Formats: sequence, C-alpha cells, structure tokens
Amino acid sequence: MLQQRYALITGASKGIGKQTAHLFAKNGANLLLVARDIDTLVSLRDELQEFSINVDIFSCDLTDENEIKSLFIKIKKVTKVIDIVVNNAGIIKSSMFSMTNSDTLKDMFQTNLYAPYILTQYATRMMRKSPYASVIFISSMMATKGGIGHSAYASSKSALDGMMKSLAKELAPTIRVNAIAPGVVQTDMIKTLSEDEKEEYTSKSLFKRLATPNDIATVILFLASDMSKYITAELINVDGGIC
Amino acid sequence: MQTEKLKQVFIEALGIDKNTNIENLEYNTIDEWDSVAHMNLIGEIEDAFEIMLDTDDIIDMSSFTKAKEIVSKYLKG
Ligand SMILES: NC(=O)c1ccc[n+]([C@@H]2O[C@H](COP(=O)([O-])OP(=O)(O)OC[C@H]3O[C@@H](n4cnc5c(N)ncnc54)[C@H](OP(=O)(O)O)[C@@H]3O)[C@@H](O)[C@H]2O)c1
Repeated sequence: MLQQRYALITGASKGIGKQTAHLFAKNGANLLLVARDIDTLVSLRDELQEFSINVDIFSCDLTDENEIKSLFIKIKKVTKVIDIVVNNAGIIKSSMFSMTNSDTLKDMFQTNLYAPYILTQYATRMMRKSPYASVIFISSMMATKGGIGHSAYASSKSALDGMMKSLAKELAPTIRVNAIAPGVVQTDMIKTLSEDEKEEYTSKSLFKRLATPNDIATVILFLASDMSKYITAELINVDGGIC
Repeated sequence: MQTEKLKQVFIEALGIDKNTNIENLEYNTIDEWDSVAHMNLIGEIEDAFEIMLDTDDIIDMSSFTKAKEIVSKYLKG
C-alpha cells in the first residue's frame, strides 16, 4: 500500500508510533524513525530487518528547534522527498487545573504543539514533489471532550486540531492534512492511570475494552494511503465510542 | 554568490518568463510569487544550494536581492 514512499514517524520508539512503524513496514514504506532514546530505535530497526525496506533512525529531542533543523539536514542525506509525516510524539502530565504550574503548561505545549508545528514546517518543504503527500497529527479525545486533570494536555491537543484544519486549507491540494483522536490506548502513556480509572474508561467504551496501539495504527495507515485520497482537514475519533 | 543559478531557480520555481527582470522581483508583486509559490521557491532554493533555511530567513526573503543576500550567507557557512 505504501511501496516506495518515505514515511517520517515521530515518537516511533514506543506505543502507537512503534506499531505504526511495523504496519507501515509491512506495507512497504521506507521509514524515517524519530525519538529521543536511540537504543529503543536501534532495537526497532533490528525488528524491522525482515522487511525489504530502508529504515533510518534519528535521535532527536523535538522540543529543541535546533535539533529539528539538524534532523532535517540528516534526513536530506537519506531522501530528497518525504511522502508521509506522522506527528505522533507526545507527552501527558496530569494535574488539576489549580495545581498546574506554567512550566507544566509550557512542557505540554512545547512537545504536543510547537514541536509538530515546527517539524511540519520543515517536512512540508520536502513533500511538495510527492504525489502522495499526507500529514497526520495524533491528537486525543481529550481535545474535544476534556477530562478531569487534563486541562493542559487537552488544550495542547485542541490547539493541534486547529492547526491541522488551517494547514489542510493552506496546503491543499498538494498535501492532505488530517488528525486522529484516540481514546485511551494501552501504551506506556497510561501507566499513570489507576486501575479504577482504566476500568472506568473500559466500561465507557462501547466495545468494553481499551484501544490497542494497532487500533490507532490501522487508521494512521488509512490516512497515509491512497484509500483516503479525498479526505483532508478531517479529525477521526478512534475512541470506541467513549462518551 | 551564484546569481545565475539563483535566477534559474526563481524562473523554474515560480514558472516565470526567462526574460523577466528578476533582479527587481519582489514578493507578492506578481501573481506567480504568492505565499504558496514562496514555499515552493524555498524548497527549490534549498535543494539547489543544499542548504536548510531558518524560518526567519524564509520570512525575510521578500525580494530577489534579499534572497541573494540570504543564500550567500548560508554558502559562506
Ligand atoms: N495512550 C493513550 O491513551 C493516548 C490517547 C490519546 C492520544 N494519545 C497520543 O498518541 C501519541 C502517542 O502516544 P503513546 O501512547 O504511544 O505514548 P508513549 O508510548 O508514551 O510514546 C511516546 C513517544 O513519543 C516520544 N517522545 C516524547 N517526547 C519526545 C520528544 N521531546 N522528542 C522526541 N520524541 C519524543 C517517545 O520517545 P522517547 O521517550 O524516546 O523520546 C515515544 O516514542 C501521543 O501524541 C499521545 O498524546 C495517546
């Protein structure tokens, strides 16, 4: 489905990003994988050796603009064109509104909004010659639904949704831009949830289970592929109908 | 500074006539150089000169003369 295409995935070392890397590899994409921890990326590259694709890994702290610039200087040595960008790296820090200090707020916006904003500025300059150009942002159901203890995270993700809609308009028809809003996904990110909270989200899901990383990765694949070539400026909820 | 090479990039990226007075070109003064074309131009300049421009320089690149100045800054290293 993605043969010959170059896909850049941020936050590829774990969770949703790692599963997306596997799914893209199965579908023939060449991969540019980004995270801070190089060791986990090296292991992932080893896991992906069974596929006949190119896998390049990059350690980069996306909160540092200079590192993003250096990342693209390195990427340009690998390929001149990027076809797909999955802005997946993200962090969550939960705290009640009155207990959230400005540092927490800044951290969340730095990783969840500024980083994908700046990365996408660089990336789209390398996407204009791709006939398959697709940018995907990983938002969250919190962006539209909100959540107790998630005011900072939810605001960073709703800002991301607004950015996605605007970019889709600016970059059409050359580049499609969409987002996915996952519900609660079984990754390291939800380790901080208590068993009670997990049970609550499980019972709220109409499927009576939490999402797996693959539930999200398959929709990322859909948005990256030609199957969605008439879709842009769309936010797809993948939350099991949690309301 | 490779002025002729930069002129060629402008001609191809903006799709303008080769007889255009490129030395006097300014952003948004011709239909071909709008904000969408600007990003294409930036990409073509980066590819042709193998450089990576900072956002501030992209914003500053408001004329051919300015582009020459900015590109030569990068080529000098
Ligand atoms: N899990 C959920 O329930 C859920 C729900 C809704 C939305 N989401 C969103 O889905 C995305 C992926 O989440 P996940 O659950 O897969 O999380 P995860 O397992 O914690 O993985 C996060 C990834 O982001 C990378 N990362 C974090 N900060 C980074 C930085 N400054 N620079 C570069 N890479 C960075 C991490 O790698 P390093 O630590 O090595 O840098 C890791 O690969 C996030 O945007 C998240 O907000 C998750």
